Amino acid sequence: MHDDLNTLPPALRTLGADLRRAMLQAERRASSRRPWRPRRRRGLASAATLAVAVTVAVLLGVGLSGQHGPLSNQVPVADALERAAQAALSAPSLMPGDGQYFYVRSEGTELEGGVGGVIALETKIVSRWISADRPNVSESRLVSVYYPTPRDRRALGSSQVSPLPSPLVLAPRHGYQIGEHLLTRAQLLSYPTSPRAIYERLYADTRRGGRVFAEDHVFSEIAETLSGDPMPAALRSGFYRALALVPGLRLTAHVRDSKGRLGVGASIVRAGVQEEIIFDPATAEMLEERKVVVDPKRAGLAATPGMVINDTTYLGWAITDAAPRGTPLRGAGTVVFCANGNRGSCHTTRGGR
Amino acid sequence: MGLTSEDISQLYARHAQDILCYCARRTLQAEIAVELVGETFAEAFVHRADFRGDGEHSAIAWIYAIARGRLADYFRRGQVHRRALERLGVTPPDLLESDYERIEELAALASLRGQLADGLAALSAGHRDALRLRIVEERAYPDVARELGVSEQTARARVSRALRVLRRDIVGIEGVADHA
Repeated sequence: MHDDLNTLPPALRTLGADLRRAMLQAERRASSRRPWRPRRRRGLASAATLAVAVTVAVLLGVGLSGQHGPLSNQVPVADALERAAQAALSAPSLMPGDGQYFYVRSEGTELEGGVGGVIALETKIVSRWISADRPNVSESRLVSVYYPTPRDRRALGSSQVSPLPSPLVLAPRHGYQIGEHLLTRAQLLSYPTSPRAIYERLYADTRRGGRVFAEDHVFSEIAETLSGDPMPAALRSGFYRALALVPGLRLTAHVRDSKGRLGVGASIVRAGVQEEIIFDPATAEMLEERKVVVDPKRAGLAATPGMVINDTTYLGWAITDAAPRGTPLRGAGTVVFCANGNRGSCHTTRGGR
Repeated sequence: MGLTSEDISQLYARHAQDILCYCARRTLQAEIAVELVGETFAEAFVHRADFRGDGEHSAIAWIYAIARGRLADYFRRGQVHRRALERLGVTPPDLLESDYERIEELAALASLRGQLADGLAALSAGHRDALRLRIVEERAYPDVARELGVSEQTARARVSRALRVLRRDIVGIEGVADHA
């Protein structure tokens, strides 16, 4: 079995790419003749897997929506991404002016590992201020730690240190990052917006970096850029369309993030782990990124299938005039946009915390 | 449940090479095998709504069933009927030298041809000539018939019988005679 078109003989590779393109076009033509209607969700993982997943989800506050088999729950890729691409063009602008910061607030869970395969899952709330011409700033607050087994707690419990709250200057560097590059504001504004050009640039970056599964990395780069960096509307729109070009991308309708918000999941599976982003096609908002173990052996993790090992839920974005200096944020700037219509999830209004 | 183009692309990425070997070992011709792979997946897409299985295993079994049907059709007609490929507007690519080498290697066609040569030596002259013209020289059945001075139906029957005889000794092309 071969997961990668690149390992096939050249003729099969060409044929595969031609078939893929033709099928997408045919599907797009067909879907343009009927209203978009995602398929009903069906078939979760086994009861045991689900039980573990739900346990983890409840304990961590992680909204695991279940395993996505390779052939289930899927909707036409082009439809949901095209809707998001269109929505991005009319969404409020999130492009900072000169001297301003792009602010993003998120809640995330990460897998921490130790010797002997012991693990712990740490949940943190993170605020980041990103600037094109000043040092980027990050503030992290530990919310909870979950140990899947007593052994994990014994091994890692004593080593957990709460770092709260300590704003941290990430690096003396600054700039808006796309792929491997830190861009100035002018460079970001002149970045090509064509989906093919975006895809090829990101692909070329990952190939230069010596990555074997370059197409998988393109998915990750697009996901990170859509969620964590500012972009002009046309570029944001182009990124959603570029996502449709990622080979093996799967879309899943009616996925809820850990805050209960409904979106569409776009995912790939690599090395035993499913990487998924959840976005709202009606607003082009990124809601969540997460990684779920589907094959622990292949992933090299002492985890259970279905376990969320990493997720980041996006709570809000804003343009601010300043960033904190060694103390928690005390109202800096004006919120122009918040995730979920500012319904209890975005806390960065003027004078807010 | 039916499949999407993404499902079929994924199945292609994972299984096209195996299906290529399956077809190459039965046709002994790399370019025909590539065409059959293309037609198989194109047909899977055209009939994607008809898939009633659940999961990858049943999907790939369904794809193999299509491939077997395309192979049978190829042996009946003597050429690949590209109906689904044409419907999608896809033309199979011309093979490069490296493609021939790679496919020969993947499907172990060299050893298969060695067995075939031994098997051919054991055939009657009439059957051997029919096979040589059809398989080695890749002549169309009307040409084979003309060359042998027999009807096209007889030419097809000789090729079919010869393949059936070879089948007894050559595991790698078993199934060919059933479709010839």
